[in-house]
Amino acid sequence: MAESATTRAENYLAPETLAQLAPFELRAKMIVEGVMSGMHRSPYQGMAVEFAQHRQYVAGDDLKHLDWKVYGRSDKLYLKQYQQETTLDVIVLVDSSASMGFGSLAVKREWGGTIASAAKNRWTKFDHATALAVAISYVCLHQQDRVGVGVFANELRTMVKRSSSRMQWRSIVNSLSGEPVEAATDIVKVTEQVLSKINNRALFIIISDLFDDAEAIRQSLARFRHRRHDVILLHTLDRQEMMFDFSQPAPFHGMENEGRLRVDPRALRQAYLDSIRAHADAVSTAALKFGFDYQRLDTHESVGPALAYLLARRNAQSKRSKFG
Amino acid sequence: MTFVTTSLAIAGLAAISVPILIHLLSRQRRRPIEWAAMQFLVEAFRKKRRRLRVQQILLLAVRCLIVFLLGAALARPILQHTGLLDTGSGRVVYFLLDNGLASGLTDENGTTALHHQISQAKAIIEELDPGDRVGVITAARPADSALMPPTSDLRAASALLHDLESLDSPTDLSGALMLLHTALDRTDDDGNVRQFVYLLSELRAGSAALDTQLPTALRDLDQHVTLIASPPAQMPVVNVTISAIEPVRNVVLPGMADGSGQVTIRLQRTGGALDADVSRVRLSGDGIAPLEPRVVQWDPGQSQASVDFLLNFATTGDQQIALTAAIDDDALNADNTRHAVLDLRNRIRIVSLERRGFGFEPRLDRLSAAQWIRRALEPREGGPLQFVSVEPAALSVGDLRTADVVVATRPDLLGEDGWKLLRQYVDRGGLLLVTPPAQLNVHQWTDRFVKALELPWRIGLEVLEREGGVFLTDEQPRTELLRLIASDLDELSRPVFASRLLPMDMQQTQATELLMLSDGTPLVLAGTPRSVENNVNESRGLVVFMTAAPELAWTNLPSKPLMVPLLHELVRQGLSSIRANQRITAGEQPALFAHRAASDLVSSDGRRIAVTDGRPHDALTRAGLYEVHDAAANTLTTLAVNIAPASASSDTQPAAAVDAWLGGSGQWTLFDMDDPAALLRNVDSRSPLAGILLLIVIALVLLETLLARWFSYSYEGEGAVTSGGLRPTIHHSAAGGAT
Repeated sequence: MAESATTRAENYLAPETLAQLAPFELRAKMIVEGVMSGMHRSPYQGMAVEFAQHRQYVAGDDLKHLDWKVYGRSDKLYLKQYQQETTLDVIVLVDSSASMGFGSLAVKREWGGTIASAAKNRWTKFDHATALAVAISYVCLHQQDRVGVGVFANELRTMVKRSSSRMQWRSIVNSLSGEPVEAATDIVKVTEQVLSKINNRALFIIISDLFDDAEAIRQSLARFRHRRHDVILLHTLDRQEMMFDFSQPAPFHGMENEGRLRVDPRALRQAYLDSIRAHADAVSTAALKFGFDYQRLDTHESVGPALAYLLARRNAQSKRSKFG
Repeated sequence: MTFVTTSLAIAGLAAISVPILIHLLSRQRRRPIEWAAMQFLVEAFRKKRRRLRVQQILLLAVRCLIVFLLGAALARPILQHTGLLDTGSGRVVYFLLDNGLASGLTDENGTTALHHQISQAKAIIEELDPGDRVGVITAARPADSALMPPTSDLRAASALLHDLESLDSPTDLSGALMLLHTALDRTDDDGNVRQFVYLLSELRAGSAALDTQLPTALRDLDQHVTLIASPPAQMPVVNVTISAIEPVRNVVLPGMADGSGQVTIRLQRTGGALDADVSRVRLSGDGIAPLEPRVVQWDPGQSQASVDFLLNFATTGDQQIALTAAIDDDALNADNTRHAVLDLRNRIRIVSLERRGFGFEPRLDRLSAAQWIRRALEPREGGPLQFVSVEPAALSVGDLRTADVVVATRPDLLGEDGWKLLRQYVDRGGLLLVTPPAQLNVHQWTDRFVKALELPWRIGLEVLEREGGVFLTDEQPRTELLRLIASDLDELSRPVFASRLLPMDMQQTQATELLMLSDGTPLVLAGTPRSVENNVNESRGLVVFMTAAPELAWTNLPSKPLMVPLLHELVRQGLSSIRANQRITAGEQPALFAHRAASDLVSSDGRRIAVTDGRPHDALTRAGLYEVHDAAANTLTTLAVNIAPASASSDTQPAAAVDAWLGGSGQWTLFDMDDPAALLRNVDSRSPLAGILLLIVIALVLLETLLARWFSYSYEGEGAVTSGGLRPTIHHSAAGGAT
């Protein structure tokens, strides 16, 4: 079993992916509380490793933080404030609803992937999501962050508790090795279940096609914001879903029991694109409104560059926040 | 609205199902696509559903309409009384074209009457519009439906007219009008279709015999059609016709120097203004010595002439000699040649049905009828008339196979089979001479005789005794059979009487009386058996009956000078008469009963006409000599087919008389020779919609093309389906997957 998981983990993380991710460090945009020492800023300034700034003493301040050297030279009372390096809690949520089983890109042998993709001979959205999740987990674990992974559809199906241990990555790979289930996404319910399990602040990375009601998604993001979590929404779509480039009339069969519809795709293309664009815009607007990151990914494009771009962008934001 | 070709309209209607079937079949063969983003597709469909359905229904309707209207346009619809759409017509024009013998008359330019008529018909056709129809009936006997039912292919009708030729048959306008009448009865055109009949003929005496009447069935012909005729020709055209070749005998015995090699050629001249003229007559034939042409000097106004030729036979033996008489070309060439066939015979074989006697020949007053007849016909052994005695009860097919004449002096001894054999013999062209048996008082055999031969004769059973005898009348009837002795017949008849004879009811007898007694009863009469079928006389033979047995107990005829010439003429002219009956007039479809084995007829120019059941398949519309072949291509006999002299007459006829004659089939209007289509042009109230429908179809095709492009969302080009979609917020051109 262990050998099987190792093999599968290697499939998830191709050497090229790891090479592209290596220069980056995952930094939380927000300062999170962490009991473990890491590379992330702590909101608690005190006896930490790195000096941050001085501020004037006010009555009631702890005298142990007084900078006596400054008092000796200027006869004024200043307190020394420090930026504490903390570890990051990262929770990756992967959508495994039936719609995630869709894929239009033919699988190549060296890509690896899930059992589902191997069966369909197609690189599905679920394949893409799991590849992303594993890659992110690997990077986080590499920098001593605690990583947990949840797999959901209409409810939270599995949850790997946060840990930064060496065995954690293998547990994560095992939890992602399943297949999409015959159920639709219920983001509100999943949010409730997840938030009930997490007490401290964390970075949630939600990888999903987000085929749910836009208002429900907005409500869920509001709940995350209310609990002062950070969220990265990785909106994973197949290119055919984004382009809808069919040229012949055909019956379309819904993967989440929506029934069958016989249409001329050319006649409906514009209306369809308008509809899916409106949904994507609604979701991204809501995410940005709450200060979350939103990225729309194409399953026909490789995981590595997209993830590297995401991490670089997060890193830059983090530095701007630190010095700006 | 009606259609020229209704079937095409129905096909167009049925073709509506084609686009519907294509639509349904294309729906069936698509494989379903598993689709994740169904909620957006459903949403898009809900937004567009109504519009898409309208588009689909609109496209389907346009496509169905295109198919239907195309079919309807090809079916050539005709709309009546449409007001705005009155742009054409939908008429039916029947041409009754005279292509009989007289239509070959040429004018001073050498153009035939038929050519003029064809030109007129073409001029009329050129005036017709698409949707109009044309039918053609030719009037040369037998009248023929050359183009029936009428066709809307006007070009084909013109081509057919162009190929028509004058035939040698007489014009049969009655037959042509009856064909038209039948065609009009069968047509499914409703009463609204305007129909015109054009009778195209010069209506000279050769084409329209005004002394006959049109069938009464034609009386109401003008009820549903407009009758239009050519004005009768008034231009005099002189035409000389060889009306007859009359050999003295058609069956010639070259060994007898009796003048039977004489042939009379008769000419007739028609055409109105008959001036003085000259005709050269030539006679030729295989087996005769060449003959110098004879010249006929026509006096002004003379219409009949004849010239005689004396044939010197260069050959002997049984054979047929085909004679051809000819004159120089004139206005009508087809009647400048005439044919006749002579039978050249070494012997004439006579079968005598008599009871054979033994011992010496009895005294003169006790000679039997058969012995008297033999003495008259074969006075010595080795003569050209050869007698063979056959026992009547033992008569067989073999006895009759080579017989030219059968003399039955003991008909009472013939059984049923014997009479049947004699009937078949006569039907094949045999000559049968029957006399009553002298020794009987009650002649019951006459019933079998009349019945077997289907003769319309009533013969008494008991012998009529005439005390002192009844003499032959001084004025004997003039008949073809006794033509050669007609001048002496009265003199020869005078001393002949009959004291016993079989009475005949002449009221119920149809026969040719050859010799008459002074009390009005016949001594010798002749007739032809009737056919069993249709009461038509199709038998080729001849039956001669003497009411008194040629024995001295009945009549003194055997001892009188009349006996020998009478019997010779009965035999030789009887055979000639039978031979003459085998001459055929052009246009006939003759029965060839004399030649049951006939397989086909071959004309002198090589045309072959098959013969089935004794009749040629087609009428013999060309004059000339025809050889009758059996299945092994052996020549059985030669037939002479000649024109009917009356049909060659070029005499003009008064327009009023022609109009009165045509009036038997309704009211005819004579057209203007300079503008034959004027009457047709004046009556028009119909409109073809085909052109309009085709324009609508073209417009609909354009509309369909535009709609299809507009509705299909493919008008932006092939790249349109790959542009305008969602874009990922992070772009990379590398291939997808875990890498």
